[in-house]
Amino acid sequence: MQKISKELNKNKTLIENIFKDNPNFIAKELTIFGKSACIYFMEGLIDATYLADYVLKPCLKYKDENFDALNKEINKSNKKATKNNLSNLKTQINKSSKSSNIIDYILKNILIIGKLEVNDDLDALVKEVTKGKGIMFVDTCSKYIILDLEKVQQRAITEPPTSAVAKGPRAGFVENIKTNISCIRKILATNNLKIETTNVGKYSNTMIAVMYIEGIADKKIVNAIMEKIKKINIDGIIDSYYVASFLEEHKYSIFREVGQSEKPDIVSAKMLEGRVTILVDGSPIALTLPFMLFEDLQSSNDYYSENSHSSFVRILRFLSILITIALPGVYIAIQLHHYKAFPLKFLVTIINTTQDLPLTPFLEMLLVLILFEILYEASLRMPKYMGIAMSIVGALILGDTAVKAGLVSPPSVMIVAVSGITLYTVPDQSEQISILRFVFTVVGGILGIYGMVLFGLYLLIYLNDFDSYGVSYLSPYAPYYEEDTKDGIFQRDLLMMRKRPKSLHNKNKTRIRR
Amino acid sequence: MKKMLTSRQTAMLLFMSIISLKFLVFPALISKYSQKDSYIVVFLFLLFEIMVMFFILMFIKKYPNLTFKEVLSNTFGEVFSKIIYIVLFIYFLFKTLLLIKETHNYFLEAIFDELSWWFFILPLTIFITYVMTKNIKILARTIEILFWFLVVSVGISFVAPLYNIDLLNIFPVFENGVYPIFNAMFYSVFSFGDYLLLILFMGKIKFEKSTVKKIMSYMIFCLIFITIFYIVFVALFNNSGINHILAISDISVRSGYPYSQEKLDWLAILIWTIALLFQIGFYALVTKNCFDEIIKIKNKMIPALIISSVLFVFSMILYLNLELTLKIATSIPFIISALVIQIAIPLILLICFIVLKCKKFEDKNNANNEMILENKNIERTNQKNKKNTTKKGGARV
Repeated sequence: MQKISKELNKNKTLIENIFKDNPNFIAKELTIFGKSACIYFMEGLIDATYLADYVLKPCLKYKDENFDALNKEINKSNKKATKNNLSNLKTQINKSSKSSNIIDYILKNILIIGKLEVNDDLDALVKEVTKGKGIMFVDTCSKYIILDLEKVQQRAITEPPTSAVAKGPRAGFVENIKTNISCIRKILATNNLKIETTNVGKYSNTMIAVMYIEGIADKKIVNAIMEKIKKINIDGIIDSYYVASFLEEHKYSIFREVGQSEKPDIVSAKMLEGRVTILVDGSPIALTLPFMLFEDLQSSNDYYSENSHSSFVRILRFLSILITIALPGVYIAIQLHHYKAFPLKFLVTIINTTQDLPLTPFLEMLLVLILFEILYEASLRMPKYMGIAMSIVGALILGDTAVKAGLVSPPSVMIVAVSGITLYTVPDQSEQISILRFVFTVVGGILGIYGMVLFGLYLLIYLNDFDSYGVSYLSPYAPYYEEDTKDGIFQRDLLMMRKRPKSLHNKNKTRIRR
Repeated sequence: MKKMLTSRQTAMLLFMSIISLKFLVFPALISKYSQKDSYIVVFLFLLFEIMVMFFILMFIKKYPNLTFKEVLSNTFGEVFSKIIYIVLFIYFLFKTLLLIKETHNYFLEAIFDELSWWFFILPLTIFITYVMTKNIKILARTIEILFWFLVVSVGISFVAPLYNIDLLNIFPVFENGVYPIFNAMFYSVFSFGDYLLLILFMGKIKFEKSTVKKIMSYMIFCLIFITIFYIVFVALFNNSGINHILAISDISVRSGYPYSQEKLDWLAILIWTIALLFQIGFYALVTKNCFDEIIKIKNKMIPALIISSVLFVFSMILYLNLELTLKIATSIPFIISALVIQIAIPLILLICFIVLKCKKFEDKNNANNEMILENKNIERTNQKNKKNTTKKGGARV
């Protein structure tokens, strides 16, 4: 830890040497109490008006003042004031203004901006300047003042595109961590909402905040998460996904182990259940832990609509996952290995549509699936104005014309189309599901239903072996927690969910008291 | 000892193991000896099993933290316990083999027109090896997810033909006297004896107040479930039951509803495939657990590989012939040895119970728990007394 010098010139040389190739690094010189001073900041990162109005202008007033004389005067007035019993309030104010050094005086009497800190560490100085803070040096002072001049450049709080709702709050997180924290604070207005922060990334120095509700969340989980975050040794954190990768326990698994959300209401609800939230500066996606697979079946919409409808929709989502994963595989398995299962007339139709195709049914299905994935990928990357043209190419040329040209059969296109639609009923799981769909198709093509069942069982056993910070991945169904299933596939009324989820190791179990 | 299974998980695992060998070849096999009285055979056998299970649960209640190995070692010594585990290892190994062969036969008859032996056995061996590296807790969690889905689907597939059945077919009872019933019981002994699993679960169950009640209610449900299946089987096929070696599929084909005729068998096929493959994995894991008690190997993979290799070799031998497998399973020496195991093990447990009681042996962990509970109770009563006295005091003031 290198400390700064008392001499301003020495400090100037040192700092200007560190930031020598940064054209937006500015040094603003001024005089205060007849001494030379200097304010360093990064142009563009700070609020220039703020700097002029709340730092430079007040400092200019004390340009030629004598600090020692001013301090003596304050001392005298303090003594007088203490004699006068009627002016207790004034005494207190004046006492606070009495200062032993210039830095202290500036902090207490001149600068009136929100957050001011004092430090003497050179490394910390570099970090603060790069983060958009201003640094003020005064000659003969061995410390510097950190000025919170950060200009907050952010987009408006809007509805996130990935979790749009018909009813309920529409606010979504933005890229600024402070705004995101305040979004949560606005919902959870309690001093029990605790925030532990740390900075990670050698070059990015990204702020990470771990939030939890004291008295509900398990402190052991919070500590385990903090420990993991502090151990991260990486050049830079660009998004919360980087942090999620470090928090996952199974590195080679395709399944997500960390919950993600773009909405403060969802994150707050999860914290009320005993989960821990991780916010990363620069990312609009909050991470939540521990994570269970069934969380992705839930949508914020479910909690703002009728329970019966929510349950119905959840069942549909669950069925959609099954259809997406299994449908292409089952179709191929039956066509290749168990064709007796088809009713005779349907079998004849299939034979008629597939007999002149150049590819085997298995390869044909794989081809259509790959084409679908390519279409999806292209539509994501393509400029918006090309979207309509893309859908015409995808639907008409690749679908209709390929069937007419005899390259693929109509049932295959229809099956992939159905599984393509059902894939996005649970968008948070779409990546994993689309991989599983391929695997099941391959297994179904080679081993038929037997292979699919075998792989399905393997998958279930594998997922049951999964733990996310001590919580079973398939909770509340394996192991079974009756109380927790009230917010499972079937959603009960809020008044019936009196207890917090048992599967999460939370401290305070009761959420609704009679 | 780390507690692993909840009462619900234990009951579900037992349920699945009980129904494992009873819904395919077994109804036909039993019909060969007892014909219309098949359901009585099954009912009596299951009733006996449930009674034994009740006794085992009482033992577990008394010594909830003792494993079967510890019980045997404390009573008869280490060598005897190892011998018992060797016997159990062979018993479950053969049961796994029988299930593998039955599954292969089922696939050939019901699902595939052609099924290469390698295509069947190689993926299965990989699956078995994988399952054997896992804990029983993982499999118990898996069955928690599948259980009701399997039970309801199997239920639908044999309830659907109810419209077609003629209940009069199950009468007259004891048409050929009582002898065929005992004869059938004798020859089908290998498909029973699932209470041995409960013995192996000893010390691994989280024992609560409701454990006995919960497990017993599942077992009674199992008894009713299987008995109804056999009644439907006899009522539907009458004396021709012997020809239906794929009982569950054959029943579901005869759906009473015109639009679902010959379509519901796919439900049964799918469900029964899941059930059979799960059961193979489960029995293989139990076999591996027995092996672990005989030879302690730290690496999980080595015993799993040894057992799957043994299973692979034996299934290669049995592959060619289902009849050979059944012949072995119904041969007199085999039946007698199975019978001896099934009767001897509970008897040994009974002896252990008496010996431990005479020794005044106390389950240390249990004693500790009881002490803690007692202390807590004392504390509570003290606190209550204090409160009462302060209240009274308050009233005086």
